[in-house]
Amino acid sequence: MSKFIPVIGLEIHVQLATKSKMFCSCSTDYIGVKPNSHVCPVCLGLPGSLPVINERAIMLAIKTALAMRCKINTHTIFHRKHYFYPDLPKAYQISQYDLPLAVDGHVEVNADDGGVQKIRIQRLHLEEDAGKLVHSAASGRLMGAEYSLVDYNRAGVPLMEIVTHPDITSPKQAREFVSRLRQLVRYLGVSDGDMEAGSLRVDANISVMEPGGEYGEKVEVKNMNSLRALERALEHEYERQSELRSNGKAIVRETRHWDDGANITISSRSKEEAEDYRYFPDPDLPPLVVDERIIVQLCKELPELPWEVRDRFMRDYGLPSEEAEILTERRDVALFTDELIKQGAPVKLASNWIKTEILRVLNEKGISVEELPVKPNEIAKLLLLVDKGDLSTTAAKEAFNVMIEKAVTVEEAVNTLGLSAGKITGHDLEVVINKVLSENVDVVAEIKAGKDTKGKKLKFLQGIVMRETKGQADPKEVQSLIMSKI
Amino acid sequence: MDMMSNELMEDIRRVARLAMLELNEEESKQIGLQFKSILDQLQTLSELDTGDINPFRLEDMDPMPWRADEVHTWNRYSEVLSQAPESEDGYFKVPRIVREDRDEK
Amino acid sequence: MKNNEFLKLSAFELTSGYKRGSFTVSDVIETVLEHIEANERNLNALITPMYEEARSRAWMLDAALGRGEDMGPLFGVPVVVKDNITIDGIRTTCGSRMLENWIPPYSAHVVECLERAGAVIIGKANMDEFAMGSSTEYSAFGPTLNPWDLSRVPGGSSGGSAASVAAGYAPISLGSDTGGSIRQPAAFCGVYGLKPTYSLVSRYGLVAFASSLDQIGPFARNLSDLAMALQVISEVDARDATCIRKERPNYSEFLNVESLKGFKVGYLSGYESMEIDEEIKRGVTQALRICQDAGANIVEVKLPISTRYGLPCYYTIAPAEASSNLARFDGVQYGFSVEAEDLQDLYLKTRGAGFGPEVKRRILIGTFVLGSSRYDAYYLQAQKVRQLIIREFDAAFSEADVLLTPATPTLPFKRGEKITDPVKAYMADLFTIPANLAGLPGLSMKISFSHSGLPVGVQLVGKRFGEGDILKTASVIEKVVGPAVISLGGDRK
Repeated sequence: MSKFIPVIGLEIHVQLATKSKMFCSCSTDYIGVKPNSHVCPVCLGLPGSLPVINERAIMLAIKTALAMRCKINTHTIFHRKHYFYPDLPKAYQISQYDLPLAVDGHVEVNADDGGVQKIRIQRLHLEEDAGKLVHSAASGRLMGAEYSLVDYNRAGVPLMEIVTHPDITSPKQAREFVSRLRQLVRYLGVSDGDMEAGSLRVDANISVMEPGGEYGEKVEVKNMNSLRALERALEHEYERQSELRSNGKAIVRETRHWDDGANITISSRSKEEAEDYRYFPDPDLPPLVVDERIIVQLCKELPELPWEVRDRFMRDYGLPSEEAEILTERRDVALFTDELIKQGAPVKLASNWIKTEILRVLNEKGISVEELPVKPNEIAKLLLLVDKGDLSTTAAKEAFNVMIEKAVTVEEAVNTLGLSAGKITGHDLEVVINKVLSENVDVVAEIKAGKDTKGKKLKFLQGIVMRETKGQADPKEVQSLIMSKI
Repeated sequence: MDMMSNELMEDIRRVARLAMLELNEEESKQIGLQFKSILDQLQTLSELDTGDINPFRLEDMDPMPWRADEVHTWNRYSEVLSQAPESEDGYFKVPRIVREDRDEK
Repeated sequence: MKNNEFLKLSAFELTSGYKRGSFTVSDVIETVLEHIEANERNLNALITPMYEEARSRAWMLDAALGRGEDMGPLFGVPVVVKDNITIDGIRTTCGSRMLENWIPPYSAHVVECLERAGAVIIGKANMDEFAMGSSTEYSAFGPTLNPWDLSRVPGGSSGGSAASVAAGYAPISLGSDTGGSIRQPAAFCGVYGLKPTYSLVSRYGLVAFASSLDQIGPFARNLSDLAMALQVISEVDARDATCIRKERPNYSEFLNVESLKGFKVGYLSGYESMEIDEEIKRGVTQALRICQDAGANIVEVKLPISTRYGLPCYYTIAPAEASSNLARFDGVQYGFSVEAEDLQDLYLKTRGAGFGPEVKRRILIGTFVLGSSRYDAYYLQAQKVRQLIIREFDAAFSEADVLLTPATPTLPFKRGEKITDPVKAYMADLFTIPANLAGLPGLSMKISFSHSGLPVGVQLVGKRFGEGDILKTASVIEKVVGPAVISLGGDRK
């Protein structure tokens, strides 16, 4: 099994975040909408209708291509791809064939042996999405359905198709690639890249080969609806093919579906003959010409790319790569980090705070950083207090929660909680400690009797003191005072 | 009347399939006869030397106009189903799909 | 006040009459509708007459006139529209069983233009199914007859539109031309028919046959009406990405030309020895002489590739695009649909029964030439030859401003004569096809009548957006031979 190397290429469809469809002005919003309500003669393919291209779709696709270092073709054309299926109203899809919008780019991922590996992008092109089918079978799948229902709301939504060379060398790497691509399209604001919702779809081509040997027959794998499914499907398929090859059997060139429930790939019903799409240039659409100046402008407008931000965080903030990855996973969070640090928050503290408190709040409330009721400079102030020792971490967390819930400043939160800016120390602290010790005589006795080998009971007492002082005591001072009293 | 080659009839069958056109025996025969003579005519084009011609001279053609990304709702959408041969609950309805041609999402 | 005289009036005369108060729109429309009713059983030029709609519209227009509202350039003018052009709420069949009962929920751009101009659309014209044919014998609704001789065809595919104008149903009608479908029936019916430069008139709402060749164009009985109709329908439309955005000239300004001095009119080299009806050759010669008398230089022009290879080039590209455009007719959303057990059956049976033989033939040819193993040898080669034809015309237009050629090789043929041999039938488009391939404007105009009383037409072809040159030349010819006349039961008044 292990003597075979996987050879993987990916074909990814990304729905572009435009307001209107690719070739008409219908809304692209189709989730949870009444069927066949965001339609018009054009996306329904009614006789006599004609396509007119959405300018923003072009821009978003070019931005993506530029971010992946592709060469943009300034003159490209659209082709018609023909096949009969109910979700395709014109019985052809407007797509691009031998002259796509962009070619020859790359994205870097981690190499299997450490280091970095370039996954080459063969092409990026524009096309329109098909409608949606609902099958009458109980399983919701096609098999056994007596009839199917068609909704054209999604027909015509702009898609960007990205095809890689077969440079990917492991299922894990495939997952990482898709993850990076997803991150990229979100960073660019080009798509919400949601695999579960269907705005990012992946098909894979996988074959196996012996090192130094010839390429094997490739199999197409479809229906992988999450990163996890992608990795597992490819792992399964790799094993299946390796086993066949080990036993001297041939790999059939075919399409297989990933069955998430059964954890296997299943062969699609084989067709009598390969589909002939009869591509030809769409006569309703003159050539798509992109002015060089537009490309230059879009290039200038590209934001810092996710990997660029990550590298910068490692370089400028001295953060290890895993931490940098977490902080730069989302663009809004990365920008927020920059802002926090700019406002004076110490790097380490800021990083921890974001990884724990900030991300927690964002995920709980499902919001973006812009929607936080608290501004970065307030949080920076909070962190500075912690850094100075004026506020313990516990107290700061409580204060933070108040700031979030009530949208107040640090000062107001601290006052609300009755926390003083300063600390409880010296004599005041001793008073509290004495009180706590007197209330926990038995624990004190156990410690005195040497039964606190792991120091748990000491910590317990410390904890009570910290609670009593609302976190405003210095933990070290508390500890030494307790010990001296015992 | 020359014998219609099996190859030609096979071509017609295949093409009719691709075009989703049901032809009965008579039609197939009729079309077979005409096909050959038409294709012979079309093939005369190969007599011409078109070596270096690029039929899609993109640089010479008027470019595609771009449409601003704005939503305009078509107010007649509720009528589209009124002429549907089969429909249900606001959807168009099609009978059993036997061949799993594509993977849907 | 009905009056058969109304039927002979030009669009201009009608609008003037309304303005003067000589008659009302309802007067005219009533006359027209009665005339249609009386003649339709013979001619069968209309698939869907629009009696009620026309009456209501006439009534509204009269009211507007009474209020002193602005009149559009085609105010109160009856117009017939070919049945492959959509009108919101009116059955649009394309001459096919497939769309026998389809009611479009939107109107074509040209229809909106007509309505804004104040026209009264009185019916949807009969046509060869999906515009494929040259005789209107391929309509699923029965053939249209030639008003000049009911045993003969009016030409096609816009036979109904041409016959409507020739028979006095309307001074103006709209047709579509992909390989000659306006010009050839115009010649057969003795009227004017113009195919504009490709991209001049929006195709939004024209049920596509061959998208890179189709154009909507007007029929009329005189140049002034023709020019006005062209003006109205050629308004820019952003809904058609192939519709050119530049400003249209004032077409009427090209008429009333006295002299063609300095103008070069080209004729097809060797046309006299081609297999063309003698009377047509004489018609071309006569037209050339008229131009010469008006001061034009007559020059010989050679178009060997277009003449020899135009037909196979067209009959590769047009069916290919048609096979693609007609793939959407599958019984799912609208139109003819057969009850079927499974999806495949639905497609096969619906398309098998919904399409006529000529359409099926072309879809099959088209599907064949687009097949991945055939594409290069057939479709791609044809597109390359098309470039050669374009170059050939470019060269011709460096020698001439306008070309004068036969419109058709024969006079109107008898019904049933060509339908048995489709390949022979394709020859009818010999002279018209090259202009579609090159995207050039072409006008077919009546020059005379044959000894047997059949119309003889000639064709003028111009450079891209050279409608002005065509109108200039035609206007000189019209001055001599007179405009087209109505065939009112064989009476050539």
